[in-house]
Amino acid sequence: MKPCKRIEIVIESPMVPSLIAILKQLDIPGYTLIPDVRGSGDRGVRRADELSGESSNSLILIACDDPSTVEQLLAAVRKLLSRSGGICLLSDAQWLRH
Amino acid sequence: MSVFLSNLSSPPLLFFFLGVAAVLARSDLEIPAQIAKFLSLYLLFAIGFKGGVALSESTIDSTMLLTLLCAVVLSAVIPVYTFVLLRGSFSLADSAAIAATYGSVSAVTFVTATGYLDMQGIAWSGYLVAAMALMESPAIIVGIVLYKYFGKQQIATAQMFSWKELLRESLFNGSVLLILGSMVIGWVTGTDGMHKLQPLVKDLFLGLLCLFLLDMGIVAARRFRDLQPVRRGQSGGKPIRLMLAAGLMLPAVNALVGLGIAVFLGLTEGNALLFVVLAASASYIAVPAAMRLALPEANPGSYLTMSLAITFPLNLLIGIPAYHAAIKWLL
Repeated sequence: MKPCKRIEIVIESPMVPSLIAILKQLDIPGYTLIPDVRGSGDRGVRRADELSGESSNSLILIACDDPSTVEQLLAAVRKLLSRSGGICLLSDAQWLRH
Repeated sequence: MSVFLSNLSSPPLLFFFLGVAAVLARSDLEIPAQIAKFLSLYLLFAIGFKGGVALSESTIDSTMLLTLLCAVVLSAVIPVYTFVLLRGSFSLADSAAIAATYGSVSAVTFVTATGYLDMQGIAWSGYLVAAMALMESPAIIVGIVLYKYFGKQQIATAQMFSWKELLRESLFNGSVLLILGSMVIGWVTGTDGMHKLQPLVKDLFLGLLCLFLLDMGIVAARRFRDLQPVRRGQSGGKPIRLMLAAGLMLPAVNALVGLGIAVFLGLTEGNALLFVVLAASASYIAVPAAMRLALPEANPGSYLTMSLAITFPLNLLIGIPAYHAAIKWLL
């Protein structure tokens, strides 16, 4: 087991490519993307039931064990979220290396 | 009065009400998302093809070209005065996004209006479909330009999208591409192509429109319910009365402008109605998709809700027959 930070980001689906570009820049190779997530927040209820998913969000899950990379990532994500709304959660986790 | 009653008792409208009733009764009735998407693709394909075939049967004249020109100019002008009207009440980003939404058109409202005309046996021309396709994109560009121009202090952060990406999104958005593509195919294959596709494109059209409007009834009613004042513990209550007022007023203003142009152009009864519907309707597919990409500062809870939960039902229930009555009275 290896200690790491678990970062969960819910963001407007069209912003996902920008977020993935940031991950690439920071050399974070791994992420898990859950598309078409729904819920409620600052911008009201998101039902994600429209014709072409006009209100759908995406959830991105990242594990990172390098504190300075985490800092850089959070700074970049803050910039994105300040435009589009969304949420970013950071927690301590244990990475099961296999 | 009779136009309103006959509109309200038409099958597509009744299925829309069924969708609304299902939400009110908290029924589990639902059209699976992928099937709803298929239905919308079908409608765009059918209306594009029908328009293309009709276009191949008619000759290009000055009224047609002038109508297309007016349609494009109108979809660029509506966002400008809408932006000015809303700027005092909504945030800069929301005003720009709502302006773009109302400048663009709702393909479904247009399709429903063609169904309304078909059921009444009133002729309409294929080039109006071309007008609809042309009106999808200009409003998006104008909306973004307005935001950039008036939001000088925000420009630094607003640089984060590329114009190339935006142009691609607004010109080759799936729905725009499908309408234009089907129209070209209908135009090229003409009457012969129509003979082959008639069972799908014409005979099934009203039935599938009914199913689609059933879904729209469900989606719109859910949105409308979401408009209720937010409960404690949830932040971000939007000015609901403001959204209601704007969502009801904007289509009326735009319809009047469209009506003026239709009379000026001397359009026939059917064409005039479709032109007014194009002016009065608001996008909830192409524009929200582009706005979420280029203008994420704007809250979809404002522009998407206004066009989907307020303006769309308004046009469907009262707008189409009211515009029709006004046109009959004027012509």
